[in-house]
Amino acid sequence: MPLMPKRVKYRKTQRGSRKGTASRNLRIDFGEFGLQTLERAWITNTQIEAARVALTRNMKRKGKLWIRIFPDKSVTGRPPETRMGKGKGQPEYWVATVKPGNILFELDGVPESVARESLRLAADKLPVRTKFLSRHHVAA
Amino acid sequence: MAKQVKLKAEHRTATGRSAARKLKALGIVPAVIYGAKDKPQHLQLFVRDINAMLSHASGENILVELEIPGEKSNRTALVQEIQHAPLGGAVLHIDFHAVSMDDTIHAEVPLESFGMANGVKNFGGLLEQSLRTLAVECLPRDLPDRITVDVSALEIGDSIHVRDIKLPSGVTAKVQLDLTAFSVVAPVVEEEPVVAEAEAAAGPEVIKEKKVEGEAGAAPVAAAAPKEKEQKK
Repeated sequence: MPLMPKRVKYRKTQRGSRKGTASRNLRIDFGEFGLQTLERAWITNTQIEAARVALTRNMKRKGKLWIRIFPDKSVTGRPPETRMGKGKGQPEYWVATVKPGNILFELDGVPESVARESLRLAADKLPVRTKFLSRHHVAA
Repeated sequence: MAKQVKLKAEHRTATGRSAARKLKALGIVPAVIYGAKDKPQHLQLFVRDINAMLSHASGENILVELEIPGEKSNRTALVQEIQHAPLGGAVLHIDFHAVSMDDTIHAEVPLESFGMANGVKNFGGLLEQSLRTLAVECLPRDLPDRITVDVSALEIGDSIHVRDIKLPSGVTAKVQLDLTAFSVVAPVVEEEPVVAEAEAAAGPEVIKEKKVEGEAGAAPVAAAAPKEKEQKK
């Protein structure tokens, strides 16, 4: 099931700002390898789920995975063929706001070749350009 | 033991964000040296020298001998921290910690595993590394680049604690000795969370500050999206 919050204070959120580069969640903190975004975007919960499935399938359920982003922002939409007005639409899906530099996924317990391939497959499911990071070669 | 590298540095008078940006455009990295009994000094180094130093180093525990114009002798320092740009990894700033070769220092040394654990090789377990660095105390000349630990004898459920790690002579750990550094855990089969689709479609629960008494019996799941009213075209 795609990720979403269990409890929220407000169902609908404003769009917010995505400018600037990331100032937190910048380093590999848990695993050995990571996937870093080079662009800013709203990543939906279904995209995160698709990436997770691609990752775990390629890792053949070995190793350990950390998902470093969480879709805690609801995006509303209007039903088709409705007139403007009548208030804000209903929440349709959930997104995680990412900025350049954020770590999206971390892996451990698999060889580097498997981690590279798995994260490449996961990156194909995401709407951003990404970069593979290793704990030993953070300074590229 | 950490390598000792010679670096040329110059005094820096300009400080602050604007000056740092101008230096960066010239291929210069701002730095600072502190520690021992001297006052902190602002320094600047050429980025090519730093990149050469980092490319030859196996870790970031590097002992440097700083050649500073106007100083009587070279200053020995430990690279305390290197700030990297989050994107691209360019070096933004370096902290040097001046050390005396006769006094003990505290440093964080990377901890690495060596070999493949038996529990991983034969039983499909997962090697978990709980400690990535180890805080140690030693003389600067004894400071290791990294500490490698042989994990090949570990079976599923076994672990290596700090007290089990053989440290080089002259080096002592400065953390609790019963901390777990490596452990092999049984393979975990990921289970798909079973959540009713209706529950998922209802969305998250909305936290309400006050409940009106009359509505106390009402379900807290106010998040259930109210059905769309039919809109007139």
